[in-house]
Amino acid sequence: MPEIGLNHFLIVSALLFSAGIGVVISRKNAIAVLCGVELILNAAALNFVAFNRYSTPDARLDGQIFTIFIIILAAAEAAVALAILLNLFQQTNTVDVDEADTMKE
Amino acid sequence: MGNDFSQTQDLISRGLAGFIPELVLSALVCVLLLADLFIRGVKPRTTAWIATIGLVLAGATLWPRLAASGEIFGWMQGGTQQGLLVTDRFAWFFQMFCLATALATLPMALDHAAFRARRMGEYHALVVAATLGMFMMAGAVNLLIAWLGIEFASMASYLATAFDKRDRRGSEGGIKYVIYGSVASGVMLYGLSLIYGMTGSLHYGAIAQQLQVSGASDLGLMTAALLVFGGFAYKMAAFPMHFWCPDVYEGAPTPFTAYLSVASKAAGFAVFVRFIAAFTTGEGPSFVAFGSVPFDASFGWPTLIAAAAALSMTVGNLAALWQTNVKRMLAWSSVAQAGYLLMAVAVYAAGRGRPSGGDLGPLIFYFIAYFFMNLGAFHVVTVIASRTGAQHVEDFNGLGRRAPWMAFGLTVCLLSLLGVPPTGGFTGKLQLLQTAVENHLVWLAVLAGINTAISAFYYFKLIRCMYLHENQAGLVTTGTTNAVLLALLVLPVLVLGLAFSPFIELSRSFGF
Amino acid sequence: MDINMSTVMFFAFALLAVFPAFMVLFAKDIVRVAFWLLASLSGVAGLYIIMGADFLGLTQVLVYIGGILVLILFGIMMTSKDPLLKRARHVERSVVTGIVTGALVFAALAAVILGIGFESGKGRADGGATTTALGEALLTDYILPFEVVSVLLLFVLCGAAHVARRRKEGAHA
Repeated sequence: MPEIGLNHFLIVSALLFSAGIGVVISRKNAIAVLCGVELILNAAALNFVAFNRYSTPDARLDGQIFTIFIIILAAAEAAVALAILLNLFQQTNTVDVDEADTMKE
Repeated sequence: MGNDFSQTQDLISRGLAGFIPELVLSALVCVLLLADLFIRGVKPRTTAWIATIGLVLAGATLWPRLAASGEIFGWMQGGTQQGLLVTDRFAWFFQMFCLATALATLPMALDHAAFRARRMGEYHALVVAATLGMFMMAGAVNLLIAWLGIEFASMASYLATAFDKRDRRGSEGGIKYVIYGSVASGVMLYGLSLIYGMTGSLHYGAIAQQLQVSGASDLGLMTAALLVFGGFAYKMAAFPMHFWCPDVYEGAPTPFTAYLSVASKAAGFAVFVRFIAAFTTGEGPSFVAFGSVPFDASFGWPTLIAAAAALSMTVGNLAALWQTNVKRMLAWSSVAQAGYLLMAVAVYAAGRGRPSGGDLGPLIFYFIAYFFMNLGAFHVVTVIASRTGAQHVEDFNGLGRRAPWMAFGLTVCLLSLLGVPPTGGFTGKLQLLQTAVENHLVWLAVLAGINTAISAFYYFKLIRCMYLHENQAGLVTTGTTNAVLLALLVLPVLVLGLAFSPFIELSRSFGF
Repeated sequence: MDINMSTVMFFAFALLAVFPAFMVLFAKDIVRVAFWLLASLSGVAGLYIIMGADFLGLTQVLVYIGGILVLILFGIMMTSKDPLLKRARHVERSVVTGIVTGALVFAALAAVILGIGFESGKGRADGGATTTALGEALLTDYILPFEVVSVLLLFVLCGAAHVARRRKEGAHA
């Protein structure tokens, strides 16, 4: 069994990313799409931490700092998305992205 | 982290001294939020005045930064500063641009029907916050700050789009904006992480240096470019991330649509141009090399941007042909405009390796014209819509008789968006086409020409409605403030088309 | 071939992160989606800790699992029209599209990652706890984003409260 290295983490992150993309593409429920987005964000964050740990040339913690901001922004994004969604639900009684789609020409 | 204390203290205090306009904007956000809470029965006019004063103050403190240059904040590494933001003329231009957009859309918000007799402090706070995010986008020289600025501006925009809670389309536009936006941002983030992994740095200068010294895998840079471009294209409303545009533009309150279509796009271009500048410096291995060779050679940033430009203008113009809602039509038109603007960026990226290349003048000039013509068009649409409820092209029938000055202003702006002399849009587009031809992008220039012809159909559809179709409805009274704002927006469109040479010089000086 | 502890830990946490991530794609019930996401995010937290990012691992648990997921669950509860158990009938139509896209994306990314041939080993060595270093960096090198984010959180919370607040008849919205 090989030593665990950078590529192992990158493959895990690629799996998370593709699962996230799959969720975003296939789901109709806005909350489920949001879950897919969280997966994508986590994949990117995992990349930053892994690169910080294994391949940046000095002792700086840039990647980890970036990840902290990703977590903060993900929280803010979820709050915004759910607030708008709640308001939409009060008006239309649906959280289905396709059902709520009325603006078409 | 290696820095001794006094050095760090010095960096922070120097950074803060160069950061005053942003501090003013942050304070303004807080004041506006508090105004809603603590001033009993606060009128829309009061908060609008607070916002106006704050924005003017921010502009006044931004003015001296025209002469400033250099990076602020960040840390010292190997004797050089690796800043987070840069203050230079390019950043100054786009920051002033976004500030001016926020100011110009303030009277529109006061006039907007759905916004009357409501607490507007929060709306203005969101617009100011979006502007603050765009300030960071324009000056970012660090991947973290670029992404944070984009997110900052986006979050405020999502909320402002859904601000009118009684409007179902606002919520629908808002939810689409935030969902697609967070997907775009996540995809971009993954690309940024690859760049960080390959170069080991977040700072643009360090990334460029690393790429020149030791290069990086072409495959990796290509993948990162594709992923990252998704996020930038979302902010620029360019292909392939343009699809949110019509729904959000239709759903958002019209004054905010105007803000979004001008400031948000400009900030998107600013952050994007600065980003690709780090990837197309001089000669060297990897992606850098693609910048200096003509287009046929291989895939690189210029090819990617040129393709996005071609598709943006074509998709935007073809879709706009079928629209009957004016806001949707202007939304697709703004996608097409992003295509024309991207043409300038493609030329810039391709020219970076050459001694004469890298001129951002045409891009900046077109943005100056775009500011006036697009805001002018949206101003008329807001004014007419809040008085007659007009949404569709037919609702503008007979406007030439019912509101002659508004109709005239809208006509000038539409002709300028189309690119007919003697308007600023014509001068701007001519420069874009000329530089494209000079830089071996003849096919793109030809395509832009064809697209201009296509766009004539829908711009003239609206003009024809205003002047040739009859409508028995009465006159529309518009008020002095609106007339003044209209004049301030429309006259420069004509000035830019007639006395353009000083402005061409001026816009060239804002490049870097 | 000796199997050491860290290798086992890696595979355990990687499985905890990846398997639930795909269940987010497959699960039919929106509540299950949220709980699979919870599992996946815990796996990522474990991976952070393996890489010596102890502070991030804990933040992930506190903010992501304690904050964002609770938010999502609230969102599900407040937007459900029927008792939660009945939500299972909401069958998704395009799971196949999702799987195919996901597989293609993964194939491309894996090819790129292996093609780039990242070297591991020149990064920062295990330097013990990172909390001090992170705190120092946030208040020196990264003080700007740190402060700016506080403004962001302020207006996001105010704006979200405004948008989500229920209207009272006749009151100012």
